[in-house]
This record gives sequence, C-alpha cells and structure tokens, in this order.
Amino acid sequence: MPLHIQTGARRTSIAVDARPTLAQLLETAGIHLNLRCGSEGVCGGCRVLLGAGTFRTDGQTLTLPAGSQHEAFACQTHVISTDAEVTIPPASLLEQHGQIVSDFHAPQHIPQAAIASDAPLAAAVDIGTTTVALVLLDPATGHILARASKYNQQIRKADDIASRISFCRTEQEVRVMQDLVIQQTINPLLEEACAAANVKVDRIQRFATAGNTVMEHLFLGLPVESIGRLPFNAVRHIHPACEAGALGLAMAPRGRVEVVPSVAGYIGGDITADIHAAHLLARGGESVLVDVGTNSEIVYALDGKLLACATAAGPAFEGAGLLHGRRAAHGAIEHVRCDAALHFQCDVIGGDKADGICGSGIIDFLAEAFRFGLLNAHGRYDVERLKRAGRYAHSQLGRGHSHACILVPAAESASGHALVVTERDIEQVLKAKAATYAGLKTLLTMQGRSVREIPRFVLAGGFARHINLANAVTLGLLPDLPLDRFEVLGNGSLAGAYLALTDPAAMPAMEQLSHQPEVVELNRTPDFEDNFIDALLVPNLSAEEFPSVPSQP
Amino acid sequence: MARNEELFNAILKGQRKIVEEVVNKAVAAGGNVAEMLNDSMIPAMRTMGDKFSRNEVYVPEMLIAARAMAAGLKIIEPILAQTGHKPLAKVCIGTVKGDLHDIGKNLVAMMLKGAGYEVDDLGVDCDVAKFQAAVDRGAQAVLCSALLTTTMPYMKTVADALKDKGAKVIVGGAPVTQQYASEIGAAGYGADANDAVKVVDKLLGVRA
Repeated sequence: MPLHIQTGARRTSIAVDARPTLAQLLETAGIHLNLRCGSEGVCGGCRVLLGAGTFRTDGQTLTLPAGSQHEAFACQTHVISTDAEVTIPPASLLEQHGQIVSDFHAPQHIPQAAIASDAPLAAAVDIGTTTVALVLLDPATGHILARASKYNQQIRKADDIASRISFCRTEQEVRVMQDLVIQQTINPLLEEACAAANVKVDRIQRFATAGNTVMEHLFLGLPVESIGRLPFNAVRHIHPACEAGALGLAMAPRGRVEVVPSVAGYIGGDITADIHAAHLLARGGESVLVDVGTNSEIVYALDGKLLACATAAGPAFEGAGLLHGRRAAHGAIEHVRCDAALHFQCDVIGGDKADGICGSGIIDFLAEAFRFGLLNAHGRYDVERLKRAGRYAHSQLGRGHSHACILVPAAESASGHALVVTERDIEQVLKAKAATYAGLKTLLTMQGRSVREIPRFVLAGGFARHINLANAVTLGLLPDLPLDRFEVLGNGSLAGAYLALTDPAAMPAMEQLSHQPEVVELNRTPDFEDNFIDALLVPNLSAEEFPSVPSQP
Repeated sequence: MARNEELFNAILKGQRKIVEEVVNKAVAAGGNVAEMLNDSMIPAMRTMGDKFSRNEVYVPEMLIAARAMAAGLKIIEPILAQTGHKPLAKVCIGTVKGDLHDIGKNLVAMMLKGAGYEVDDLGVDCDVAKFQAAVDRGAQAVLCSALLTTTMPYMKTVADALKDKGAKVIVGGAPVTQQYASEIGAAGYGADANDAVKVVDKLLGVRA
C-alpha cells in the first residue's frame, strides 16, 4: 500500500517507509523539496499538506481522515500508516524557475554588426550561492546572443554558505560541489544558451565568472574550510587563467577560463566586479555600494580609497525562515500595497494565485503596515485592529506560537490556506535589515561621515533590483536619502564577468582593485552592536536619521 | 525596599536614558543600590525573559531592554563592588574559536547580568585555554556560543577539555540543538537567551 503524492496536477505513488522523514522519502523518489535550513524544521521551505493517513509530526502522532489538509514540515514528519496522502504545494519544490536577475548596466559598446558565423564566442557567468546567471556573447562586439539562468544545484546538498563550507570537509566532497555547479548547473546553461542562439557549444572560446569567495573556490575545486573560520582566509584571491577542459566545462576544451579576483574571505569576486562595473573608483568623489543579501557587503569609496565590510543579514530577504516565505519565483507575492481599511493588494510573480511571499513583498508589507499604524516601531501588530479587520490569525506551526496578519485569505491563495505574516517572521526581517543598516552606519561613522551625506548610493545584486526603494527607506533598511541618489546596478557580478570578456583593460583593473579595499571587521567595532540594536526598530530608534518617515501617533 | 515602578517600567520599555536618570538620582540620594538591583532591576529583566519565553516580546525588544538594564548596571557596579554585594554566582561566556558572531552571545551575557550573575565575558574567538582560565578565576558555568555550523564542532573540544573541571559547560547558538548538546556531553543547552538563564539557574541550583 503506497503513499500517494499530489504535486499540482501530477499524482505519483511510492512505497511507504516510516524510518526516513517524509522529506527523505520524497528525495529518494526524486521529489526534491526546499530544505534550506538543513532539515532543522525552522525555515518552512518543505511545508506539505497531510491528507488521509497516520503520521508522526513534531513529535505527535496524528491520524487524519480523508480530505484533511494538515500543514506540516516534511523534514519533521514520518509516515506511519501504509496508505497515506500528501499534497506538495509548488512553493515547497526545489525546482522552481526563479526570478533571476541577469540584466545589468554596463557600458555596452554594441555596434550590432552581423556576427561572422564562425566568430569565437564567450560566456560570462555570475555564480551566486542561490542562483547562477549566464550570458552568451560575441566578445569582439559585446553583443549578447542569449541569456540563461537557474538555481545553483549545490542547493541540493546545502543551502547557505556556511552549510556548504561544512559539507566540504574532504577533497571528495569539494569535488561533489564542483560537479554540482559545473556539470549540473553551468553546463546545462551553456547548452541552453547555445541552443537558443543556434550555435555549437565548442564555439565558446572564452569564459569569465565572478562569485563570492566560496563559490569561486568550489568552481575551481579548491578547499573552502578555512574561509568558514577566523581569520576567514581563502586559499587564494587571484586565480590564474586555466583551460576549460580541465574543469569539464561544455565549451571549446582549450578555451580560456578567467575568474574575477576576490578581496577577502567574505568579500568576493562578485564585489570586485560590482566595484568595477559601478565605476566606484573611476568616477572619483564619494559613494557607497551595498549588495544586500544573506551576507550584505558594503563598500565605501572616497577619491580612490576603498573601505569594505560584510554583515551577516541572514536569509530572511530570500524568504527563508518566514512561515510563508519563499524565494522570488512563480507564485510569490513580490509587491504589496495597503489602505487604511487594511485591504492588501498583492502583485504575484506570474500573475496566478499566491503561494508565498518573497523578500521584496515582505519589505512592502512591513512598510505599508507601519504607515497605516497596523505595525508599531517594535514590529508588533495592533492585534485589536487586526481582529476588527478580520485579518487576525494565530500561528501555531513549528516552534511556538505567534500573532499573525492574514495577507491572502484561504479562498484566494494557491494552496487553499491563508497566507500570513507572523510577528516571528517580522523579527527575522528586522534582524536582517538592522544588520545591513548598522553595517553601513558603522562603516561611515568610522570615516566621520553620516549616512545622510552620501551623494551616490549604488545598490548591487538581484534583490535590490526588485525592491521598492521608498518602502526600504520606511522600513529602515536603506538610509533616508532623496530617492534620486540611489542607483540600481542590477547584477554587477555578471557585469564584471561580461566586462572581463569585452574590455581588455577590465581584468587587470579588477585585479588591481581587489588589492585596494581596507577590510573592516564590524564585530571588532564597538559601535556596531549599538547601531544594530537601534536599527531593530522601524525605521530606527534614532528617528532623527529618518526625517522623511512620519512617526506614528 | 518596594519596587521602583519608574525604573522597573523603564527597563521593560528599554528606555536607557530614563534608567540612567533614575539610577543616578537614587545613587546621589544615597539609596541602597543592592536593594534597587534586587527589587526593581533584576525583576524587570526576569519579567522580560519570561515574556520572551511566552512569545510576548521578541529579540528586538529584549535587546533594547537588556541595553537599558546594562546602562543602569554600569552605574551601580562600582558601588556594589565597594559594599561587598554578592552576585548569585560567577559564570563565563564566549563565542567559540573561529566564530565572530557575538550579538546572541552578548544578549545572553546581558540577561545573565540582569538576572543577578557576575559574568566574565570572554568575547569572541575563545579557545579552550581562555575558557579554562575563566574557570580558574572562579567561573562555575561556562557558556559557549556558536552561530555557524563551521565553528560549532569546537564546542565538543571545549566540553571534552573541561570535563571534570568543576564547571558546567552550557552550549547555545542558532545551529545548536539539545540533541547536539547531549551528543558532545555538555551539561546544558540554552534554546534562547532566557532559556540559557534558566539552565544556569537549574545547573547551579540557584532559586530565582
């Protein structure tokens, strides 16, 4: 008697085994769930709906009647009865087509001349911890022939940087990771892009890539263990060019592979690429570049001098650790608007019914909820008002309980369950935004500068491409500057790799600049913690830093 | 001494400036600071801790309250030392070797101080020798924090080295679980900042 699994319109059945968790059981059946917290039962990525059958979940044994839709985490659930029903919401599946930013603003000297049918081609690749983006181009003209992107398949083994480092204890494990990123991720992208451009892969003669220090090491098959511990030393920061055949890339075997150099263990080649693509040095004057992510990197530039730091924001902006959070992909709420009557209007990626909320959506939600007095400066709901508006929910899933606001009622969501934002979710987001803002403030204060004096503020990375800047200011993630001082760079990492292939001066310039930044250890700076605590409020305990954000009555 | 409501509430609300004002005023008036600590300040932090355990307050409010408490403690600590005030017990705390993440550790340290313990804060990147030295200085409990799966294994090194040295090793941090604590032979596990205080209370036989 089997376990029946419903995923969208598909129905499959597999043999029941009570020993592994439901998540492991599904994994062996080839159904990969989002296990980003490493099956700790905290991220909610593997949320499933249990139907008829007997299950053990969160330490309790449940026998459910036919037609049940009991929410549970697959990583914390065992199937006990030999016949059981489970429904997997699309949002819990790993293979979602993500919304991956592969556009960037770079000087594209594109004469759009016809490309000779045998001209050598090149591939520029951004290797992100979560996503990999590729462009196929003619390096002589800069013309882009095709773009392709997908999740970094290393996610299957470990989700975040720290767990990937932990995974790679032996040479063999490093090879597994290298294989996942090259054979399972980059090669399919090379083939996809070549198919779209109707060319053969062996026409690709050059390859350039940028990523964080760990991603670059794993791409090259270098050990990463030392990057995870103080003093966070990498094997090397400048990587000699090598041949594609040695790495097994799907391109001309003698083709040249270049990797953008990194600055430090946690300030990678992606940041070098950002700095170069944003002309932080070339333009002179004073500017700040921030790449908001799980680790937010911050670079301050003043007349050719560079200062950099990294701050651990955690994965909340990627939707992880939030009850109904999810990555930006089909079905995710990416923008939210609200009115005084607490009607929420949600924009959903793909336009269908929503099945979760991603980072840009949660920023909008919190900013709007604060604006309309539903949320106070400490990130707590006006519970009475939620109840009056019929928006109140009490969340009991996972660890403990929490007040929650119903963003999408059950009838309007893809899963048939209400989508909610809990106070615990809000705490996660506040910690993430506080780490980023506090890092920025600390770095600038050390230079005797105030956050509000910065004339040019560059936002790099895919996440910043999608956020509503005004809402990010209201939340206190970004400083309260006139919005025209912000510049959205897009995927600067990909831009750097692109420039390395099209501009002969780019790689030497990036190598040069990778030596320049002075790296600041935020934890060694006493102000950081104070700034962090101040920044935990909406927008900030130091309200004077956010004059444009009206304070609540 | 009766509870000073103004001070008690200022700590709950995390109003650092008001806490400093009230404490300074009391000190200037020659009030009994030990009583103020025991009757108003420690109960405020214990109340916050319990609210935290019940999900009535979250980390942002806890940190703000703990910082206000710390500001008040800073003023009275020299006076307490002069008057021979006895803390509940002495404990030490640090992040393990290789780990620089100290915000969680700092919150636990502030909570312990707020609960009436003398806290020997060893900072970040602590090796066995550092923890051992603190035990030699009289720490009865050793609290180890790690935020990364890459640095967590060092907790076992600490637990092994300090076995039978008379101090209880208590571990905590985002990736740490009760199961892991039991596996490495740690005496206790703190699931969160308030839980850490309760575990110390229990292991040292302190009745809060």
